[in-house]
Amino acid sequence: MSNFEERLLRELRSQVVVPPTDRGQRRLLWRSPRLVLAGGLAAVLAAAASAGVFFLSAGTQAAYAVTKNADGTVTVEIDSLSDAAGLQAKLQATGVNAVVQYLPAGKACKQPWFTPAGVGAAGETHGSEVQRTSDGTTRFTISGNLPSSTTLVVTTQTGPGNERALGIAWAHGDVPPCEVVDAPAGSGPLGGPPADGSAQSGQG
Amino acid sequence: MQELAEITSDPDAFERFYRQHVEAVQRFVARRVDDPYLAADLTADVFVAVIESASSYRRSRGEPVAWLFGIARNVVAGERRRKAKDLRRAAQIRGRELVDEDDLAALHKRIDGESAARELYQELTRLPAGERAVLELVALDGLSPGEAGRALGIGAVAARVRLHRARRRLRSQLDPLDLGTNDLPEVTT
Repeated sequence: MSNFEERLLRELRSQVVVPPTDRGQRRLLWRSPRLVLAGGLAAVLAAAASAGVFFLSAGTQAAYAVTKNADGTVTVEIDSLSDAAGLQAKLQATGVNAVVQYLPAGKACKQPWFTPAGVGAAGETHGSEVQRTSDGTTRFTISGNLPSSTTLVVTTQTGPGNERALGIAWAHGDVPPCEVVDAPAGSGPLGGPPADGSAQSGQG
Repeated sequence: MQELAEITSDPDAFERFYRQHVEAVQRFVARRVDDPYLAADLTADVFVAVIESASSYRRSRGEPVAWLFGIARNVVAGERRRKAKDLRRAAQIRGRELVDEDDLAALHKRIDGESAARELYQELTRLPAGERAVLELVALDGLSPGEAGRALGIGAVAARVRLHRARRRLRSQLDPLDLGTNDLPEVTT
């Protein structure tokens, strides 16, 4: 399909998951800044970065894009925490082992969920730093040399104000099914500190 | 047949429908408008309308493509009414914002390829609305008279009557322009 057709498809998919009575409101949200990175979450980011784990918050719109680049890398853009199955299928179709598990607010996967993948010998990670665009899209790029034993894990945790945050991690080996539990106090979904809003909040 | 009701809540089901029909919708639009940006807007509008109305689709309304063209026709007609009244568009998705230079070239090519159909479309404005609607879907978009009737929510007999009248009227008005009206399907009432 043409670029226009692909872009239009992304926009339209975001319409599909919205209940009919909410569509107008959701379009307003689509155009407004919406992502808040809480201070507690920022602490998770700092603590987890050395283990190749990145966290950032995200809003609730539905859309994503997975693009295979000419240099073999894969760029992922996530506009919302919805249609996890669709994103996972897209990633796998692009050759990226991936598990995408979005959870309701207040829920987490029982820990330990998977074995985190370490960084390479030269300290390299399997993906770029996570960026957030001015329109609220989360973007990161996956290395073209991703080991076959490494799995991308995209998941969520509950942040202050009950908004959900997007977590991106690398697992070594297979990732077992997520056992959904109530988010425990004192730990994030991947073993980090909780996004409990106890620290200072700000735009992420 | 794909259950159309699914596409209102299942993005993957919608994507299958979209991939199957997006070219047909764009060609449908290109047979009616010559502005590539407006064509992009209307293509987006058609699929938004599809999402919003798929739950009301009934098999008795015909094959999905006939139902889709009925929606597309309403969208284009709505645009004509807005333009006539100089009203501002209030679209949920602005298709033109998704168009890049490569897309623009493709849109122009598609529009250029449908110039003869647009000429006929303009000529059809001389017809009464009911006759025009049936003839549009049959002569421009390739539906059978029965499919056109179901797309428009009228019976097959009524559609054939309107088509017959439209053909007769066109023969007297348009044959000098050689717009192919002799090739229109024969109808019986």
